[in-house]
This record gives sequence, C-alpha cells and structure tokens, in this order.
Amino acid sequence: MFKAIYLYELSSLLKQPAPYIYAIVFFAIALLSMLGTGGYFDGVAETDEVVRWLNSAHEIGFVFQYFNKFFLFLLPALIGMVIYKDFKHRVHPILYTYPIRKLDYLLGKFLSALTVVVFITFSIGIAFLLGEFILGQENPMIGPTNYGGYLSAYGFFVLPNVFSYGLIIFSIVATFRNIYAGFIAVIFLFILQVLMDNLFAAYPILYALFDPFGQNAITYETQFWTLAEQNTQAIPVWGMILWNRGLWISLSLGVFYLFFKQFQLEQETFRLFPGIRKRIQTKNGPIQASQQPEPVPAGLKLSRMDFSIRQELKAMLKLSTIDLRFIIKNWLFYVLVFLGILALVFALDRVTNSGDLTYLPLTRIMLSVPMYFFSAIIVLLTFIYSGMLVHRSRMAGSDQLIDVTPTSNWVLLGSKVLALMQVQVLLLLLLLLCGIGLQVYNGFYHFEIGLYLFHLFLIIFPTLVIWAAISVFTHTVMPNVYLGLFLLLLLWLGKDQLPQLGIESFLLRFNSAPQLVYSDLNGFGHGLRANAMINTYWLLFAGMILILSYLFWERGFAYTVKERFKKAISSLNGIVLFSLLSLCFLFCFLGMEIYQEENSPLKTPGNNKEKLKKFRADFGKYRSVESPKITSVNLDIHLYPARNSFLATGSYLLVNKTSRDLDTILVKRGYDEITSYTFDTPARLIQEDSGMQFAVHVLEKPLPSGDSMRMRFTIQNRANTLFYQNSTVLRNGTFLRTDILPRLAYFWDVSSSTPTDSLAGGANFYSPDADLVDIETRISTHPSQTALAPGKLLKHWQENERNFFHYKTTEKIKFAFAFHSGIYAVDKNKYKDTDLEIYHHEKHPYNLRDMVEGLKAALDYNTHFFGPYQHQEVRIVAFPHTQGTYASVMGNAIPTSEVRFVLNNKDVDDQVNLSFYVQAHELTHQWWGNQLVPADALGAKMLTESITEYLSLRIYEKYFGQEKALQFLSFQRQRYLRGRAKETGAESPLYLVEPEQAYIAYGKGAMAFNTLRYHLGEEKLNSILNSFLQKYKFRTDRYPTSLDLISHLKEALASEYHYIISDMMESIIFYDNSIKEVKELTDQGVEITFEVKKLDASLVNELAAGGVMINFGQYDNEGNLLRVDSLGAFASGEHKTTLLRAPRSKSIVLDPLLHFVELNIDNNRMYLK
Amino acid sequence: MLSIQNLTKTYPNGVTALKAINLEIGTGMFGLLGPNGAGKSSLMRTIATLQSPDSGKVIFNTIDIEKDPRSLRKTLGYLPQEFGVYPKETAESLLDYFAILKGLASRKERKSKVAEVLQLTNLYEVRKKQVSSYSGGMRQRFGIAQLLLNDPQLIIVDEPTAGLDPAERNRFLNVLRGIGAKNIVLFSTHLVEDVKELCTDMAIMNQGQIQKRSTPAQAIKELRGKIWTKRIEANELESYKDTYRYLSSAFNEDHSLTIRVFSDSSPGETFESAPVVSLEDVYFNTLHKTAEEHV
Repeated sequence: MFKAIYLYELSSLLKQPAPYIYAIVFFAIALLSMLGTGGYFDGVAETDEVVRWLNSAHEIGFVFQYFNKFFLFLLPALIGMVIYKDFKHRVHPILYTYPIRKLDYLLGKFLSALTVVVFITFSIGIAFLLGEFILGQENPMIGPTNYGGYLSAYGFFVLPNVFSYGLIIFSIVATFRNIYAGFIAVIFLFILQVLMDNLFAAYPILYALFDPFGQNAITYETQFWTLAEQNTQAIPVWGMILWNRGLWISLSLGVFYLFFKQFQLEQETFRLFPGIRKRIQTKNGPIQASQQPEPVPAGLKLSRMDFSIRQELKAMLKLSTIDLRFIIKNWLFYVLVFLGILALVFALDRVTNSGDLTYLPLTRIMLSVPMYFFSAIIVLLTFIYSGMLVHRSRMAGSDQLIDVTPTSNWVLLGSKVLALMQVQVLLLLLLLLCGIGLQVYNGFYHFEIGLYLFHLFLIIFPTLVIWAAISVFTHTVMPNVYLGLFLLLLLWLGKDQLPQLGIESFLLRFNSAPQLVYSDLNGFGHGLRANAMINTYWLLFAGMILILSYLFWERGFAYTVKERFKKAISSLNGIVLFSLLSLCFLFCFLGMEIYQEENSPLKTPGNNKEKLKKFRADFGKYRSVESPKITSVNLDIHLYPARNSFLATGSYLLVNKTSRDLDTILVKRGYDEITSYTFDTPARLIQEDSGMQFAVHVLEKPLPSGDSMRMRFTIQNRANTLFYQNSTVLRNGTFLRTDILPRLAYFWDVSSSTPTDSLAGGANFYSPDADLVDIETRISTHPSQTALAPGKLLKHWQENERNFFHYKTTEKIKFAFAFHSGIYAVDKNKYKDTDLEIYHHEKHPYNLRDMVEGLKAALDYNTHFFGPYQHQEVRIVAFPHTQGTYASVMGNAIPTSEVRFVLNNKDVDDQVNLSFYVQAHELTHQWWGNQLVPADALGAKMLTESITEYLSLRIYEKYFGQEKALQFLSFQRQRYLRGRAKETGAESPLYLVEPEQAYIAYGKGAMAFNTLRYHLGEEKLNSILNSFLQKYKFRTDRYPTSLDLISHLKEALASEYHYIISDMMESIIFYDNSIKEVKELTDQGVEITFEVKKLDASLVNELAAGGVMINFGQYDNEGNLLRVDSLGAFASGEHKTTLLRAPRSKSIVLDPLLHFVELNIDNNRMYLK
Repeated sequence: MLSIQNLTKTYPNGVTALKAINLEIGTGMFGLLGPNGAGKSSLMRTIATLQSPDSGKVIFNTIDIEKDPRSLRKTLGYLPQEFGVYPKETAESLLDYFAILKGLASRKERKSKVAEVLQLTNLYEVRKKQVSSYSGGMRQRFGIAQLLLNDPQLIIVDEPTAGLDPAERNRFLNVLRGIGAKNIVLFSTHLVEDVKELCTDMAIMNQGQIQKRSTPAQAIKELRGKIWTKRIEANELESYKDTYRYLSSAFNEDHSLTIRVFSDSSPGETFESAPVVSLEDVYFNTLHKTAEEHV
C-alpha cells in the first residue's frame, strides 16, 4: 500500500508545473550567483592576494546555507501541500474509510513530496558544477572541483535540513489542517535562529549546537581558519556539526512520533488539547431551529442602497476593517507578533551589547537592526496575509455570493490593500511601543517620538505599501497561492542580489531605495531626497500594478487566460485608462529623472583597476622624484553648511630640503574637489591625468637647495548629486580632512619599503610631501555654528552674518588636519595647564566623564614616563557616524565619531570602557605617533599602534585594576587570531607589519610589549622606550624604523629576554603549551606535568624552544586569580614542577596572563579536587 | 421581464452547456426543471453575471446584463448551488458583511434589514450562532436571507432543495413562496415535486436546450388522456420499453410493476387510462423526446 500511495503522489506531483518552476528558478539563481561572483559579467579582478575559491568545500557549504533557507519555503508548498490537499478537497472523509494503514498513508505522502524536494535541491549542485565549468580552471576564483565538498554540503546540511524540517512541517500541516501553519513554521525557524544567535552570543558552542540550520556549527569549527585553509580543507563534520545535525534530526523524528501517535484517519481533526475542543462543542452544540411553522411576513421594507463614490469609499473602509479583524483574530498572528517582539528584544540587546561597542539604546539604534528585523516580519506577514485575503472568499466558497453583489472590484481590491496597510500600521505602532518600552526598561528616557514616527511612517511604511501592492497583484494573477508566495519571497530575497549580477540602477531594483543612516548630528543628511524619490517611483509602480490587479480581479468564472484578458480589457474604461496612463507617465518621468541623476556628469568618476593600472604605467616614473616639501600652510576656508559646500583659498610654503636643485613638482588635487593653483615662480605643465587629478610641473628655474617658493590654490567642492555625495560639508557636523588639500607627491606606490632600506629613515610615514608644518587657518561658517581648525584660537568675530574664527598652531604638527563646523555643546575641563574641551551634540552628555578621565589618566601616565604634552589644549570634536565610527588624533584635536559619545559604559563587567580607553589611546599617540613620527617603512605601526596600545593597557590597568586589564588583553588576543583568519595576503611578523594589518599592530603588538613589561617591570621597559623616544622626538632628518626600535630593545635587555622579541616581534610563532597532569601532594603542594610546544606559522611544524619563562595561575570557584607563580626557563618538551596550592584554589592555568600567543588555550587549564 | 436570447456557451473542455437558449420569464415563481448536467447552473450563472456567454444576450427589464452587470447586481438575489461561509462568523455579522457589499450604507438600516431577513427566514433565534455550525436547511435559509438583503427583483436559486430532509425542504419552500409573489424567482431543480408545489411557470431543460416551456397546469392539461398504465412483471420491463413510449414505473407490494406510458390513443386493451396526469409524466415525456432526438 505504501508503494501505491508513494507512486501515486509522486506522479501527481510531477504532473504539476510548480516543481519544475521551482527547480528552474533555483538552478538559474545558483548559476547566476556563481557566475556573478566569479566575475563572468564584469570581468575578473587581477590581484596578487590569495583569492577565495568559489568551489572550495568551505565556500560551497557557506553558499548552500543561503539556499537552504530558500529550500525551507518549498517544504510547506510541496510537503505540506501533499497532505493538506486531502483536507482541502475534502477527499479525506472518503479516503479514511479505506483500509489504509496510517503509517503507509503518512509516509507515502511525506516521502513522495520529499523526493521531489530533494530533486529540486539537486538543481543548485548541478548549477554550481556547470558554473565551475563555465568559469573554467583558469579563473583564479575556481579551485579544483571538490566533489567531497558537494557531498558534505548535501549529506550534512541540505538533505538533513529538508528531511527534518519537512517532517516537522508535514506534521504541523496535518495537525492543524492549515497550510499557512506550515509557512509560519518556516518563519518560526528563521526567528529561532536569530533567537539562538542572541541568546547564546556569549557561548558560541551552544549556538553552534542549537542553530537549526547547522550554519554556526561550521562557523564554530572553522572560526580561526585562514583563507588558504578555507580554500583547501574539508569541513570537519565529525565534531560539533555532527552533534548539531543529530540533535535536530532526532528532534524532528520526535515531533513526527508525537504527531503519529495522535493522528487518526478520522474526519474530525484531532486537537492538541482535547478538553478544550469538547467544551466548545457542547457550548455551540448542534443547532436546532425552532420547529413551529413560521409566519410569512407581509412584505419587506425596501432597503436604501447607496453607490455614490463617498459611500463606496466608506464601504471599502468598513470591509477593510472586517478583513483586518479576520487577520488579527487569528492566534497565528499573535504567535508571529510575539516572536517578532522577542526577536526585536534580542536583536536590540545584540546591537547595544555587541562586540566592540556597547551602545545606549538610542532611538536611531532601535530603528536600525531591530527595525530591519521587525520590518522583515511585516513583509513576510504581508505576503502571507495578502494571499489569504485575495483567495479568502474562494477558499471559503463564498465567492459566488460576493461576486454577484453590486460592489465594484476596486472597492473589494481596495479593502484588501487597506486591510494590509492597517496591519502594517498596527505593527509599526507596536514596534514604536516596544522600542520605547525597551528604552524605559534600559533606564534610557530620552525619547524621540518624532524620529520614530518619521522613520516608521515616512521612510519604512511606503516600502511596505509597495510590498502590499505587489503581493496583492501576484496573488490576484497567480491562481496557485503557494507559487505566488514563492515568487514573492524570491523577489524579496533576490532583489538585493541584483547588483551582483551587474544590475545597479535603482530603476530596476524593485523597492530598493538607498539606505538612510540617521545621525544625531546631521539627521538623515543628504540621502533623504533620493530615498523619497525612489520610494515615490516605486509607489507609482505600485499604483500601476494595483490598477492591473483591478483589471484582472477574479470575479465570477473565467475559464481561460484569453477570457481573463478579454474581461480585463473590457474593464479598461476612460477613468481607469486615464489613471493608468497618468501613473505610467509620472513613473516614466520620474524614471528619466532618476536615470539622469544616476548618470550625472557631476558624479565623481569611479576608479577602477584598469584606470589605475594605466595611470601607474604612465606616471610611475615619478614615484621617487624628489620635490620641495611643504613647511607652512595658510588657509581661508568658507563653509556653507546649508548648501553643502565650501570655498577655500590658501597657500603652501615649499622648501627644498635636499642638497640638490629641484625642478619637478608633482601635484595631486583633492579627488572630490575642484582645485586650481599657481606657483610664484614660472612652471610648465608637462604631464597630466585629469581623471586621477594628477599633474607634473617643471620649474623654469630650478629651486636651489634651501630655497623656498610659494604655491597658491583655490578649492571648492563638487556639487552633490541626488545619489552621490561629493561634498563632505554637512548640514551640521562637517568634518573636513587633509584630503581636500592639494598634495605634492606620487601617492600610488604599491609597496612600502622595508626597514632595512637605507633610504627608509628619510621619509615620513604619514606624508611624503611634508615633515612637520605650521598651519594658520581663517575659517568661517553659518552664524549658528562653531568652526574648528588646528592650533590655538586667536580671534573670533562675526561679519556679514557669518561666524569667523582664526586659528594658528604654536608647535609644528604633522600634515594631518581636521576642520570642523557644527552646533556643539562644549564641555570644558582642565588638567594642570592643559585645557580639555569636548565639542559634542547637546544630547550626548553620557560619556563625557569617562572621556575626560581617559584624557587625564593618559596625560598623567605619559607625562610621567615620556615628558611633556606638546600642545596647550586637547579638543575632542564629535563628527557624524556617517563619516566614520573611529576616533583619531590630528594636531591638538581628537575628532571622535558620535557613536563614541553614546556608549554604555555602566554595568559592563565583561566589556572594556571604551570611552575612557579610546581617548587614552588617542592622546598617547601625541607621544607615539606625533612626537615620534615613524619612517615610511613596513613595521611603522609597531612604533605607533603597538606601543600606544600597550601603554593604553597600562593606563587602563592603573585606573580599572588588573582583572579588567586582563580582559582587555584577552580581547587583543582574539583580535589577532580572528584577524589573521581574515587575512587575504600573507601575514607579516610584527616588525614588518603592513599599515592595514591592524590585527597585528594592535592585537599582537599589545601582547608582545605586555609580555616584555611583565618580565622587565614597567619602569624598566618604559624608560627604555623613553630613551628611544627622546632620541627621535620631533626629528625630521631621520625617522625611526621598527628595526631601530628592536635593536634599541635588544641593546637594553639581557639576552635571556631576547626570545620574546624574536618570537613575538621578529617572527610568527605560536605556542601550544599544555598541562598534562596535576597531582595533589599531601603537603599543600601540587605537582604539575606540563608541556612546552613551539610552532611556526603553519601551526604544524614544531620548533625548538629554549629558555622560556612560564607562569602558573591558581583560580578559585568564582574565577578569581589567587596566585601566580613565575617559573623559568624551559625548553620544548614535558616538564614537572611543584607549586604551593593556594587556599580555595580550584583550578590551575598555565599562562594565565596571556604572555604567549596560543591558538588553543583549552588545554592550559586543569581542575583540582 | 427577463428575456434570454440565443444564449450559447461552450466550455474549454468542449462541452456545450448552452445551445442557443431563448426564454422569456415574467413575475412569479419560475421552475427550471432538468436532470443533472442539463445546463441549468450554467444558465443561472450567466444570468447572475458570473460568467459571460459566447453569444446571445440576457435582458432584464431594460438592462443588458453583459454590458451593465452592475445594474443587474443591484437588483439581483442569487443563491448558488453550493456555497461556503467564513468560519467563526455569526449569521448576524456575516449578513451585515453582505449588506455592506450590497450597498446598504447606513448602519441602522443595515441592522434592521438584517433582523428582518433573519426573521423572515426564521433564523433570528440562532443569529448569534456561527453559520458554519448550521444544519443544511438552516444554511440554505441563510442563503435566502443574504439574497434578500437588497430587495431583489430578480432572484435566482440554483438547486436549493438538494440534500434537504422533507421537513427542512418544506420550511425552505415556504420561505421561498413568501417572496415569490412580486418578483421574478428563477428556481432550478431536478425534483419535479418542487415545481409542482411552488411554481406558476416552468421550463424543462436538457442537454443545453429548453425542451418544454409551459405552465405546470397547461402541460398537465396537454397530456390528459394520453397517459396509460399497466401492471406488469418486473422482467417484462425491457420489452415494454422497446415497444412503448415508456415514462416511468413503480413497484407494487407484490413486486410487480405499474408502468406509465405515453400514447395519443390507447396502446392496447391491457392498458388503462391513468386517472391523474402528474407533472412527472410531463417531465419524463419531455426527457424521452430529447433522448429520442439524440438516438
């Protein structure tokens, strides 16, 4: 019997078009995405870096995960449907009287549909193999075909997923006899994943275990894999992945078992809670009307019918509330909303308490990720409920009753759309309430209702309305609800992939207005108009498809497509045609506008690799041309915030600092600016590239050694276009940097010189065209704003209703300037003679104290060890986070992103107080980076970031204590290990660190200096560093390299410490030290057997270690470090040692203070009885 | 006056449901009698504006329903052969919903109208119950209640008595009788009884065509003296069918059969003239003719 059912269902499934459509669609998406990523459409980028292979086991697994989620939507449509159709077509009362075994019936149905689903999933594997073939082996992104990778992706993820969730959905649909319950189960799975993510963020192992899709089990197993490993290694399925899969498969079997026990081949659906059902039944009872013969009334009162437009609109509204009631009366709605809110809460928690930064629950943060998540739920609900509403009367069998009423189609259609909009508004309001609720819960009372309303109803709501329109349209023309839903999901998830296929125009990307980012300083900024325009464009489109929905609205019986078209055309009367044409006209008109804006000549032309390559070939010869250096800068800047523009005039004093005559001047103009310039001695233009804004001039008369000349220039910004922001001048919070100014060198050098290069010491790491300079600025702005520039404020006045400021530096500074303008609240403090000023948004007072403490602590520490601070003031100035989320030091200012003013530093036991730390770090750079400027060579950041990060750690420890500092250090360790996993080039040793390898400079650098500090003592190490600083302080004739520092260190240190320098600074070395055994002795002693193991960068080859100093720490139950024993010195291999056991100690840890770079620290701990 | 002219409809599967139908229907109860599959529902759906004919016209008073379906819908009451209702809705709220769809703008009037049609169909007591829990007869009366909301002048009820028990059927026909006096009620059925009890005018339809158009009384009159009966053994039936124009038969207590045949004059001495001519005789006589034509 099983076989008969199985084969019958299989053949009836295969007779439908839907499975083929699904397979073709998946095939096409998979192929296009593979070809798109592989550069089939826009060319393969040439690069020397390690490239991610598209067909490695890791990548196949990764991409298939994405498809796995798509496949889930097939489950209700195919597997759910196979059982649901018996209820829908009321076959079940007949069928269930046949002598069929329950198991045969259920399994036959389930397995037949599963077979079809499995075949559909194969379409992507075939597409990938075909994609590999089309892209070809010569494509750098294609590695050798990896059948094992496909096998493991299918065997461990795709198939177990469709099996387990198919089984669950099958059970759910059969239980509720409702196909939508299946869809909702799918959404529930998605939400579940997010919940797990948030719930177990701190316990990756649990997340890996409980992730319903197994995705994070892979992530967990491969988190520290470098790119090369990702390309070549197989997914290790035997660990966490197997546990995860086993868990979910058993869970689904369990669900099926419970369902199977309950399921009866009976006409009445069984209930999860039989008691409730009974009570309802008796209450409603079988109804009997009265048996008396009824009197026939004399005649009816005549009804008044009104079909005026006004009445029809009123009817539409009434009908929509009836539809709304239908939606929200359903318990499924509440389940989903509840889950949505739950996800919202967790998502918010994640945003405000995640990773590096811990934010206060600002309104704009509530409206970012949590909002995105919640609106995704609204979109999904819109898809589902639009299908329910459009097909509702037909499904209930009331369609004939409704279709013969005189109510117009537009009223019926309109009522459905309105009902959907009402649901959306309801949910948005709910979101608003939840947002405020969460803010209150977090003790944050700065509500911005206006921002909520604006964002939810003017920015989000239009896009939801567009979704409602397209959903109603799709369900109107698609007789198959499930196919309609699938197509909508495809559109929704697929539209964001269009750019990958080379479709970037907003004209073609459905309902994808440019993302807006809100800044408290600058509001929505310049993107708002573009956003409104794109939304209007798609709203017009929505209007058009709603008219089409009206024309094709199913009423009565149309038996052929031809008949439907005939009906549609006959409904196309004057008003309808006129509306359709006007909408179409407006749509096209706006489309033209958008097209023109997108192709605006004002847009700064993009750089591409071709252009750059050509440029390098033409101008590379100027790479090492010596030019006069900028020594003094004079600027007049006029900012016009309301117009997003500025005009600057100024001059440079150029000095020939070489011993030869110089005649070549290279000029690189600001890329987004329009710059004109002159020299005060005659010069000739000999070569120019207007695209790269680069020109080469030759002086008629060479500039003799030691002589100077002047260059004058005028700069203005390019105007913004609708979509592209060329100008960095903002309505509020303008932050201009050095990149607006003309520069006098070739800036496109690919590789930095090595520190061994004899010329390296002559070049400034930060600016090849300037050493240290004076700068004098007159800057004017809108009268409501304050403008800031480097140096001391000399004068402030008002003129022509504008605010003028005059600044001048007292000390020479690096060629790195910040110019700000905005409406700021100013927080003023003093440290000894130094002014500490914080220019911030008036509603951001939260972190000021921590920032000031950070500055003071850094001043305290650094002046104690390294001499005086070179400026009279420290100015922290806020800038909008749209311009970046960093903080940096420029002259006497520390421009700091506004996000760093809204951090939640309170009650964060396991987090670093970043407000304190960041300011301490930036200020420390005044010594290490500004007083000492490194040479332009690899390893430069070891002199700035590594030392600064180490000193910040010291300052942090002094202020917050050892435990906090240790946490901080453990972040640095993870930063290094995670960073190297993401490295696309080759990892460098610290002394050759490349400028962009922050994970080495900060993470590993801080660890290295900290290890030295532990063994030498703070005073000793700092005095060694200080002598190095004093040697190079403010020098421009000879800049120090990392090698200078290393030899300085080696000279000052006894040779027993040299292994630290060589392990952590000069090479890439890992240790995998471990405790092998712990034996408790009778006399309070503990005998420890441990191993010292030193590895090279491959983590495979063992090296011989010698003279290594090791610590053991003892912890109590609460994780407090009770005692540290320092032992030394050990060579590779096993050793035994005996320690005194501290009272209450419960575990022993090798290297508790993180002095070694170890990938695996799990084997460093042993518990005591 | 409802005038059907030359109405023709062929479905995509090749079945011609309506073959050039011409019919004039005036005020009163009009019974459309025919076997299953005769094309009754197709005709009714076409009149109810639910599907369009391939050719031909339907005119109600002055309304050409294909050109102006909406005007007809304003004055139409239609009860399809099968219908469902939204689950979990009470009769009262569903009727209110339909009243809105039928253009009853004022809430107050809607309320009183709903109460009125509920009383008329004797559902007032159960108005707060869910319609999905109604018995078959109650559900059909609910169908009548909804069609009455807009005081229709043209009422179409498609096989409403199918599946009702005798008591429910009686109650239902009583309700229908009450509203048939002043309006056109087009009533389709395959039960001769229904027409006999209810209709003032009728047509017999088969194979997409009107086979007979008459009043019940006239049709019976036409057959008076032409119906003959005879008691025969059951196994003789086939030979009688071949020889005579056979209409129907009924078993007697002794398992013999009494057959009825049509003949202009006495078919033989063993036959007796039927004392009463029934509408059933008319129905079977008409169907027999159709069958002959198709042989």
